[in-house]
Amino acid sequence: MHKPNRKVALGNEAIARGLVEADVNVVTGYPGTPSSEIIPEIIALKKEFALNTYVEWSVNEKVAFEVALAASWARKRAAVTMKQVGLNVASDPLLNSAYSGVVGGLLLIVCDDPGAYSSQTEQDTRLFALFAKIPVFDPATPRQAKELIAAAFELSEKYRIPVILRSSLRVSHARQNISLEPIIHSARHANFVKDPTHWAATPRLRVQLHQELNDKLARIEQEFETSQFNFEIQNAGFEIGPAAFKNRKAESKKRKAKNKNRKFPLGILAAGVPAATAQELLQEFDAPIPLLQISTVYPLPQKRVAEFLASCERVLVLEEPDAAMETQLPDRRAVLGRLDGTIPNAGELTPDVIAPILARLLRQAGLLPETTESALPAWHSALEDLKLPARGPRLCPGCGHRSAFYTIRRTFPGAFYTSDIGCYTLGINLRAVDTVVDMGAAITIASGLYQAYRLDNKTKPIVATIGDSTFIHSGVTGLANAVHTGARFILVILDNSTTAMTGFQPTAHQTQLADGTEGARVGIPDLARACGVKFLRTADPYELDAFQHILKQADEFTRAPDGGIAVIIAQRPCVLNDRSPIDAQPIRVEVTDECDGCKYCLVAFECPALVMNVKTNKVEINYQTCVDCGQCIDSCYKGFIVESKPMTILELAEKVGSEKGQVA
Amino acid sequence: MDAKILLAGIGGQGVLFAHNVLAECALAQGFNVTGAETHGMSQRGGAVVSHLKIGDTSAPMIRHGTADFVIAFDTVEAYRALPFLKRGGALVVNAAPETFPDARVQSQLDAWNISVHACDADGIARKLERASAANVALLGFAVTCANFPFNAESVRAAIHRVAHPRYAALNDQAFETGRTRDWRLEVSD
Repeated sequence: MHKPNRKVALGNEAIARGLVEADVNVVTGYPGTPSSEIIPEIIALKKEFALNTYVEWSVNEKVAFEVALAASWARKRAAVTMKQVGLNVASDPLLNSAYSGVVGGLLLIVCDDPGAYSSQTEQDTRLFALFAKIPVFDPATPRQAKELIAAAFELSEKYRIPVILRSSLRVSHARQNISLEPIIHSARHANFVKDPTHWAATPRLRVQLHQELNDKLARIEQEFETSQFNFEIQNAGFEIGPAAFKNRKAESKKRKAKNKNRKFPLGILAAGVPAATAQELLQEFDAPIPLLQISTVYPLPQKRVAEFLASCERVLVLEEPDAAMETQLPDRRAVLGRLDGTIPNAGELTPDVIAPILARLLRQAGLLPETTESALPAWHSALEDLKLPARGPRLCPGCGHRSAFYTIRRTFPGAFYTSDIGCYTLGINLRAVDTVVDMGAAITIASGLYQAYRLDNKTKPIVATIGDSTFIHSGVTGLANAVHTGARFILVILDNSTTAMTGFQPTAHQTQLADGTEGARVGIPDLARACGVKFLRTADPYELDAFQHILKQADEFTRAPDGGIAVIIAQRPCVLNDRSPIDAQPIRVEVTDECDGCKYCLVAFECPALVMNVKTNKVEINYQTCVDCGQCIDSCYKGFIVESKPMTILELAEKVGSEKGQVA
Repeated sequence: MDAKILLAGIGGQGVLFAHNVLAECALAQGFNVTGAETHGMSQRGGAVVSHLKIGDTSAPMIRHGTADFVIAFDTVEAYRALPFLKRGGALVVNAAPETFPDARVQSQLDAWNISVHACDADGIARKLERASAANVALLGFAVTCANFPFNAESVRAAIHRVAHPRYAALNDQAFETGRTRDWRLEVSD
């Protein structure tokens, strides 16, 4: 027999593998941390196994969802990937699809970000599932995520309903060994059967569809009552083998027989990553209490949970980032969780957060000795003395966005700077970003600010900045609105020719598609012109003076009698993605001995390669990170940053080699 | 085997590469691995922390006060990661031995019986004229520390499996220099 292979995989790779093993036909998505690695892995598997799979990076999440929904209606198995705030964008078709239903399995994979490491909100996709009336699975580990996928597709097809697999940062970006099952090529032929009562239902039919949906959910809840994905563990044998869900039932039956008439002083009802964390802590504390892990969070198997609650004096509910299970419990008198304040209402449930809460409850139950030591306070006071420098994210050395922000700020020091979601949010470090709301809001917030001041007959300079991918995602509609309503401001589209922050996915204005094949270019200038923009220039932000000149022209246009919105496309490829323009013309800089340590360059240009030497009180260049863009020369108005003698060919070759090479 | 190893550094230092090498070692010896890593803005100069747990657990993160080893590729991140170590744990750090640790944390290190193993891996990398070899040199050094869960042979083999073959010779050299600890003789000229 073929022995399954084992592999250490990133959670998102495990999800991709699960999708392919479940014979997915169509995968769409829009990049966003922590979801971005699923589609590239699907593409890698598609190439490795010569799969007949359609994969796309869609222009936004709503588009991605609708393309996948249609594929499902045509009987294909389809999956959509996005981060949790992306679901806000896709919510319109999502809510409709619960009513309309699906044909081929439709799996929506949404990655939450408890702790908001790289997101605007800590929103809980499982609560979105409750709101949309769509079943949601909540895996604790990459292995569980992979195993749930096939079941999710089967459920979706059996009840003709979309299903959500809710991943989260510590699943998607966890690494775990997974087993690799065979990949089967099937032949599902596209077969779109016209059914206007579902695919184009008029309002008259909607109440009926809603009732159909409620009936489906009631049946699904029944099915979840006996699901193998909900299992009870007592503190005995924590072995979680490759089959993450197998061999649970026998163990739980044994426990029931033994403890028929006895109530546990404490139990844990948990879902997702906190379930795995709690399991480990119970083992560490050697606490003999039961834990019920629920993977089918909505619709919650009420009987299964009620039975568990009845077996315990008190039950601690652990889930994140919000209280999706807890809110579904009809009787919370014996329940401790977020709703009664036992668990904090914000932030990630790390083991450091859960441990002291669990230890306190175990002590109250007489299951843990009084003393548990923590060295954290002692460490904190010892480390405080060291005054360790904070290390926030910054725009990379050589980033074209920095040059653009530097010039924008120099040209319009008192302007309002509305910005958007992407690397360039880090323009906040150059004090050139005042607002960040959601994808596309740089343009609409600028419009709103303009209209607010116009009511008072005042005009303020407003400079909106938005990335190329974000502009196509949700900027175009805002621009059409701004032009139509006569708003006046400068819009700088920062075009670095990629979706840089999430890992260099191609955008719609390149000809390259997700899998490297050729597509058609959607031109950003064409889009701007089609929105009715009358002032449109393209410039390289590296040409600081020319860029400033265009900014001034743009400003004049926004204030001219027949003027309006002025759009500048700042074109400079992402330095991490394409170093060729710099390598063609490297400018090595040095700081002269005359540097007086005034720090102006550090504040105004804010490049990580410019560092203050506190001993000499002079700025130095960190040549390990400097990319020889030469852009900082302008930022020392005293002229102490200068171009040094040209590098020899040998030095150049060595430098390019060492930075491009990957020993690590 | 049960082991908890926290790896800390900054973007571009090869923290995740080191994580993958050690995970590969564990897998080759038949152990389960679970871990967590920071992505997102790490390439923009942020700190990178990765948690690696070997053995039968499914929880991805290491709790403060419970790590067996911290391997730090940067001194600032080394200090920040110290609270993760358990009593009797060990810090392996990329730093010249005479510069680490700062006297102000010594009493806390003593109180928790934490051993510090410092190796100027950056110095080795400079000697080899390849900045990115520091992480491999530090792994070579780490295997010489008492109770480190993997021996030199298995780590070296895992590096070969994880890294691009093009760098095999260089990686061997960096690993060996870190492991034999006689890098001073080589770099002091």
